[in-house]
Amino acid sequence: MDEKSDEQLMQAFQKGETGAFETLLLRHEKGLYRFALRMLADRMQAEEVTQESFLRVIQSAGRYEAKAGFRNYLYRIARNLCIDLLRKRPREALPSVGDARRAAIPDGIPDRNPGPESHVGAGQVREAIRRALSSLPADQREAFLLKEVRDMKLQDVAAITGTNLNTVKSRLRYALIRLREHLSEEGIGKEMGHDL
Amino acid sequence: MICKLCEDKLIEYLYGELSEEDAAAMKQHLEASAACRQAYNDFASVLKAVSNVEGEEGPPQALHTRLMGHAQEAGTKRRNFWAWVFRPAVTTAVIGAITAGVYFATLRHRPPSFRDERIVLEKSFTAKPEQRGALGPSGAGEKVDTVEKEAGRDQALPAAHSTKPTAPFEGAGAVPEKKQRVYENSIERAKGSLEEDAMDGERPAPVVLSARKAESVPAETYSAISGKTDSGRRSAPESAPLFESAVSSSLQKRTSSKEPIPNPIAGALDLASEGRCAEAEAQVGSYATEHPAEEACGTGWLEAARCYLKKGDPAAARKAAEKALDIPASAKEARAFLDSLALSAD
Repeated sequence: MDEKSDEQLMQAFQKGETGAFETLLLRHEKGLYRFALRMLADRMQAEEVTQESFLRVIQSAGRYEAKAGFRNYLYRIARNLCIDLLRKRPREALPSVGDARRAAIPDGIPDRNPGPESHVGAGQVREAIRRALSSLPADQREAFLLKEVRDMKLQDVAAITGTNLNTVKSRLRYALIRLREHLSEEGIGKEMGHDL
Repeated sequence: MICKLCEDKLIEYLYGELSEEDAAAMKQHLEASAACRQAYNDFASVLKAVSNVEGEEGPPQALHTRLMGHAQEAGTKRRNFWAWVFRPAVTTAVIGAITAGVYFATLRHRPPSFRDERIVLEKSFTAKPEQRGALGPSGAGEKVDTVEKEAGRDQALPAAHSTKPTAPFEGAGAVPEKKQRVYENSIERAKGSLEEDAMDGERPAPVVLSARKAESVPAETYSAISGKTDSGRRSAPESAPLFESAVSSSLQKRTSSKEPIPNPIAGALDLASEGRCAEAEAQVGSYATEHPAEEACGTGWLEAARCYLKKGDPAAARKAAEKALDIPASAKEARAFLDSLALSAD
């Protein structure tokens, strides 16, 4: 396992070590792609955003400074690209159920931790969640999806979205309330109880 | 409806970002408040539902391959660049370029007085006869006047000549403060130069300035004449003899000639300085018919010769200079001029 930090890997890549970039790619490509896919509900565009984000990293590697956190830097690029693509869409063409279905994960893949909701069907749950996420306003959706990235702190989300901590918390709270309502309408998660 | 505490801290508690102390307090609060506990459970169920479908989606392998291709290309370019930078030939060229840059920057940043003195010198050769007569042998007024003219760049001059700096930019609209400062500095330097000349009779200013004008005069010649050194001097051998001649001419004038220049000759000098060589030569010839052996005639012939040379007519220059050979006081200078002319022709 490579114990080098993202920033150290970027510095190595600045010196021409391609292997360092591959490590970065393996660390982040999946999370970034998933973030873009859920933001845009479009596989082609998610792929485009992922590719463009890493290409910009490659192209601007010479100007990268280690003091800037790499992950925030990468996600800031991706987030801006997503926002640009969303802005280009007509208002009425927000991600639809059809788009979400096309972007959905194949039903054949089992869940890691089948929960009480599993009786609904994993594929249906994914579809419902996709629709619920798509129904969120873009600012709430990006806050929620960024926070879903592993080890991403609230403060990082604030930095990437160019807001402050309280705004992020507020957006997350509204996002969670809305998602809960949406999922309840779909009959998902009602049975779930959680330990404090 | 959740309480104020949960509005503020519930999200951080949910995502595990509260300190241990705050988390314990929040836990106690949730146990006590049914509404807040309900909100927490709702949020947690959403997170769990979302996290359960995580992990399966990923970008296509082709994307990974494409990106690695771009990275390898960029990495190769970067390595090649550094390898290229550290090649001996490139390193040598860079060091050479830096050295040349420093050298030329040094030349460009000579003391500003150098340029002003050159201007003074050039103007002193072209001063009107009445100015020459009116100004004393030191040429003090002349120097200040010409500097003022130059610094003012065609601005109206004060009516009376004075060594006191007068701002030629007053009333001329918005003149940059920097320009005004340059003007004042040039006046101060001219005054300083005059004071030095007054104290040092052996090194008359025009001679020194003639020498300094010639960036092309070899350093040793300059040093021998002026008694000063100039480390930034450039050499241009093809024109050096001509300037040497000019220097020796000026030196001779200042050291041997005690008589004022007759007006017809002064007029001829003016004509020569304006490039009207033939007229200058004719005027000197006219004066020479009555005063054939006078030193001023030699000076006039030589000025006409220099005028022709400047106009690119060395044959006419030679003819004019040869006339000065017949005048004992100018013979040496004329010979030097002709020699230098022959040398430059070679």
